[in-house]
Parts: sequence; C-alpha cells; structure tokens
Amino acid sequence: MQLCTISQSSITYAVKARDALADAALPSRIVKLDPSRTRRGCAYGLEIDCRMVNSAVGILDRRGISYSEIVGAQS
Amino acid sequence: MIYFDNAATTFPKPRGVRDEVARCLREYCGNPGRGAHRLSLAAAEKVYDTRRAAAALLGSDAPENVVFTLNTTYALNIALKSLIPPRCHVVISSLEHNSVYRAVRAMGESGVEYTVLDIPDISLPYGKFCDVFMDRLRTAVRPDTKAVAMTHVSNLVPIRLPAERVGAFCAERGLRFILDAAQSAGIYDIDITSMNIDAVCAPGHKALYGPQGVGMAVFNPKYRDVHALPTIIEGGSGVNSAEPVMPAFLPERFEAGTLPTPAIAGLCEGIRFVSGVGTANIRAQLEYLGEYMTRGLTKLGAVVYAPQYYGESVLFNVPDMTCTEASRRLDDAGICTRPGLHCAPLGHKTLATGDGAVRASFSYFNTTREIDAMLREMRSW
Repeated sequence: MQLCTISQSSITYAVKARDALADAALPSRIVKLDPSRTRRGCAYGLEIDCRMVNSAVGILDRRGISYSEIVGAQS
Repeated sequence: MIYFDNAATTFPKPRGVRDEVARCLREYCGNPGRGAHRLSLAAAEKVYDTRRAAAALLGSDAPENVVFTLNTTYALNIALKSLIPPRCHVVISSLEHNSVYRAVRAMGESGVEYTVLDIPDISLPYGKFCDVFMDRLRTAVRPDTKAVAMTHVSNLVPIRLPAERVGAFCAERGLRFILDAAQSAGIYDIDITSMNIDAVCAPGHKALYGPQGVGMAVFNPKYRDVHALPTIIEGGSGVNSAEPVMPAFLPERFEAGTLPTPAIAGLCEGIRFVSGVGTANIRAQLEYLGEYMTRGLTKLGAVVYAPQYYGESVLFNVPDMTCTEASRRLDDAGICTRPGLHCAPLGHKTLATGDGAVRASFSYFNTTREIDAMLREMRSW
C-alpha cells in the first residue's frame, strides 16, 4: 500500500482532521513530517492510503478543515 | 477547615479532576505538539479533548480557537493586546479586576486611551440597572472607540453586567468585545457566538474546578487567519519552526512554549463535572448559599455590600474591626476567607468599602452548616 501524507498546520489541526476522517470511516495516522519535505520546517500530517486522498481531501473541504499540501507517496 | 475563598480558587476539586491529573502524570504526560511518538500524541489528544470541551461549554464549534494560558490574567493580556489596536479608545467598567484595568492602562504606551464606565446605582432593580448601564455605554463610546472590555460578574459581589446586550451593541457598532469570565465561566451560560463576543477569558481553576496552572482565551469562531493579530509572547510552537515568526493561525499563534498538560487534563474533567451537574444547578446552589450568608451576616450587624445580589460571593465588613483582623480571626477558627482589595480597587471604590472588606466565596461543595459555623464564631466575638 502506498501512503500519502496530508500536511496540517499543527497538531491541533491534525487531531481535528483525523477525527473528521474517522467520522467518515477513513483511517489515518498522525505523523510528524520531516522538515526536508515541508516548506516551513516542522509540521504534522495525516498519513493515509494514497488511494483515499481525494476522498479525504473532500471530507476536509466539506468540514472546513484546512490543510497545507499533499506530500508524495511512500511505500 | 471551612473554605470560603472559592473566588480565588476552588477547593476541593472533584475527585475526577484529581484522578485525571495523577493519571496524566503517571501514564501519558508527554509534550503535546512537539514529537509524534505515542506519549506526545496521547498528550496532544487530551489537550484537544479539553479544547473541544471548552469550546462546547462556550457555544463554539471551533476547538482550535481555544488558546490555553497560565491563567485568566495571561488570557486577558493576550486578548486585549491582540484585539485592541494602538491609538484607539476602549471602554471598561468600574468593577474591573486589575487584570483588565492594569493591562488596558499599560496599553497607554501604544496610545490606547480608556474610559471607566461607572456602573449604575446598585440599589436599582436589575432591569433598570442594565438599562442605565447601556445608556452610559452609548454615551461613553467615541468615534475612535474600538473595543469594550469588561467583567461578566464582579469578583467582589455577584453583580452580573449585561453581556448579551453589550455584545449586541458592539456588533451593531463594529466594536470588539472582550469578556472577563473569571467569575462566571461554569456558573452562567456564555455563548460566544450568539453573544457576539470576540474573546472570552476564563480560568481553569475557579468555577470550572480544574487545577491551577491553566486558563484560556477563547476566540470567536470567526477568527481563522490571525496573522494580523500581534503576539505578546514568542517562542517554540512545534510547527513552522523554520519561520522566524509565530504561526498565523490559532491556537498556536498564542501558545508559545510547553503547555501545562496535567492542568489541562484536569480542566477537561472539571468541565465534564460542570456540564454533568449543570450550570443552572450550580448557580442555584451558590445563590442559595449567598442569600443564607447575607441574611445571617446582616442579623449579626455586619455591613454587607450589594446585599440584594445573591451568588458566589459575599463581601462584608465587621463594625469596629479591620477586614484583615476579621479574616484573621476567622482563619484562627479554621475558616478561610480573603480580606483586602481582591485585586479590584476600582470595584472597591465603586462599592465604597473604604479600606477593603472580607470576601467569603462559595463552591458547589459548600454547605449551610459551614455558614452556620462561621456565623457562630462571629457571634462569639
């Protein structure tokens, strides 16, 4: 399974986003992003099956939960 | 021991609060929002749970707008100094605690001027009191007024200022409204959205029954991108670390440094306790105790200030005795009260207490038997 990461502003938004996805039965895991992979240094993200990214982003958009970027696929 | 100083901090705390603080320290107290290991995430989850509980208590659907601070004073300083721009005018009331009065006064360095709105005669029927208060507020506002900052309930006597009407007025006039809920959160219902409040500031350790070490500034859900709001403390935020400035979003913009996780964990349980009992039931108990003590003190010949207002606190003086002496005698008898000016010189001047007074203040756990014991002791003087 290839994993993608939806970058969040902070741990606060990562928990909020994870809970929103969990409400829609979409599993995700909170991870810390390597500073080399973000524009601003330390960041948190939600690791998710890449096949679910579009669904996840749609849920976050509908719930008004912002995200910074989608960080590339990892095996 | 009988504890009548709950307006300073509530004691004892509900068992759930004590247990959760201990459980946090024992099981999951990593640093929230710094690492991503299980202990850090467990701590972050609890912090978020508390944000969610606090937001719900205050009628907000935005847990991320709950900023945790050390106490109400820090929360008020953050709210006042971020929401009130330089070189403008602010209205405060004549009941304000020093956490509003001193902060607003210090903002004079950035050109902020203020008007102290004298509250109406407290002997007026409450409805008329509020009408006159609003008339005075309308008069106090100037073309350069940008905000109203006021206490919801005085920390001296349980006078409740008409926050709903002030909020509506501020919304109509485009003014920001900062509410000091130090003595009302957990006792009165506060809805940050319907009451048009820009920021509610409250302690965790008073009527929310949490431990000392946590307070909160809860920003209205309309505040999303807050990059334009100035910070007063800068430091580590756990995110955007490569940037030389604090994050542009809540809550992290105003939460520099490590959060007081055990205190926040305890606060979560305190809010759960308050929600379980219900603010209406808590308020009814406090009003009953306040009336009971007021009647008892009046029969003894004590001077009770604002005796027609019943609630969490009773402010009084004993004839021919300083407030400090009266409080010391009560302490000798195992009864805790607080004498002096209660960090509210404006309020004492408004109530004309002279050199201060004794404040007895209740929690949900106090009883009329404890009040009887205090009155019995005072009868023996």
